[in-house]
Amino acid sequence: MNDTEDQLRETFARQAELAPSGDDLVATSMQRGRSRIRRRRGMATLSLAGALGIGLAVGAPIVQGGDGSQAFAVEQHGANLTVKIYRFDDAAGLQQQLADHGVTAKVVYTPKGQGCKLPWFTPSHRSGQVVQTITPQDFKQGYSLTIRPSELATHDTLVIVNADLNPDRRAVNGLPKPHAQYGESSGSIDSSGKPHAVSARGISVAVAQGNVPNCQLVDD
Amino acid sequence: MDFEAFAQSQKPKLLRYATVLTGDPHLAEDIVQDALVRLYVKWRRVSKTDRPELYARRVVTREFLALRRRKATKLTVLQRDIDDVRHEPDHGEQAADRDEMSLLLGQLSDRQRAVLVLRYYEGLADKEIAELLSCSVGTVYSHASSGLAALRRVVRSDSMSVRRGK
Repeated sequence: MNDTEDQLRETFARQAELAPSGDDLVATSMQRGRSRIRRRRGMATLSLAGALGIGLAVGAPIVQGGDGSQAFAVEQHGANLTVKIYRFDDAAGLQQQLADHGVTAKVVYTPKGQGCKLPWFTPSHRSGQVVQTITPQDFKQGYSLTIRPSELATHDTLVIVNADLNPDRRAVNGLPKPHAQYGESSGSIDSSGKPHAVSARGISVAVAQGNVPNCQLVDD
Repeated sequence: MDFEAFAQSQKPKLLRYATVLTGDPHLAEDIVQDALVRLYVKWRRVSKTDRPELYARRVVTREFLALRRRKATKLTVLQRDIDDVRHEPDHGEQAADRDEMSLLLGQLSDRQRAVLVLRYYEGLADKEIAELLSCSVGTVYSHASSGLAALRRVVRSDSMSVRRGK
């Protein structure tokens, strides 16, 4: 045989015949995968609790939804990401998932009655372009946010915080007064008003310029 | 499709691919298992991609490249082994050529080998290989050319020495 490429094909085909059957491979992999997920969740919970300086009991679910086990879900739909938050829990996990999708994010879930010390971060005007919709629908079902990552500038940080942003109140948790306010109904954000933050009852999303420092908890 | 169904359907292909990639069935099994663990952890996201099977192959390839980096292992072939194959009296000439090719592949760099396997075993286009390895098409072409040239050089010089010996 003269042709090196043909020789290669034949050699590869012959080597492939030596492949093992891997009888228990899938079951073992799933078992190891489940352990890895449990470990990560445990570390994320400890990390969040440590960052907030609170006991683990504080992170108890405040909204219910999903399959009962997941605190959030991040799904890619074309150019958009849909973030579903079922419980204000595992903020680090949500941050990581968003990072996996190329979005630098700061997710902060503060205990009831507490917020982040002001000023917290420098807001960007791109919130309305980045956050397409925010849908509280029903507190028992959690929240659904639609985000367009391509609208984020290179050094922007997406901020998600469990805050009630009521236009009649002062800016809560360091977020500026929102230009868009949604009660329990859903709808698209009008980006023409260049809102600083987008909120629904119980949750707010903003875009910050640059890094967002850690939240220093203060009484709200 | 749930993870288990996907993994069961892809397992044979991934094991064959990893075996060709590593040249070692045991190492191949380890690599595929590590890759499946990674896929399981990310399954919610992976299952929504257009071609999860291509993603699985990418993970296997990365595991292979990472393993080689971690352990600084190289599928080096002792010259004595090559000589043994070259002068193995019980093999026909073609069989000896094939075994020699198998050994020589172990002397290529990890990326050269990965590119050749993806091109000549998996039958992927250079563009797909570039995406899979996260590099440019030019880099893929370069690895393939240099890998093939290295193999041709050795095979040619061996043929000449055999002819001279005869």
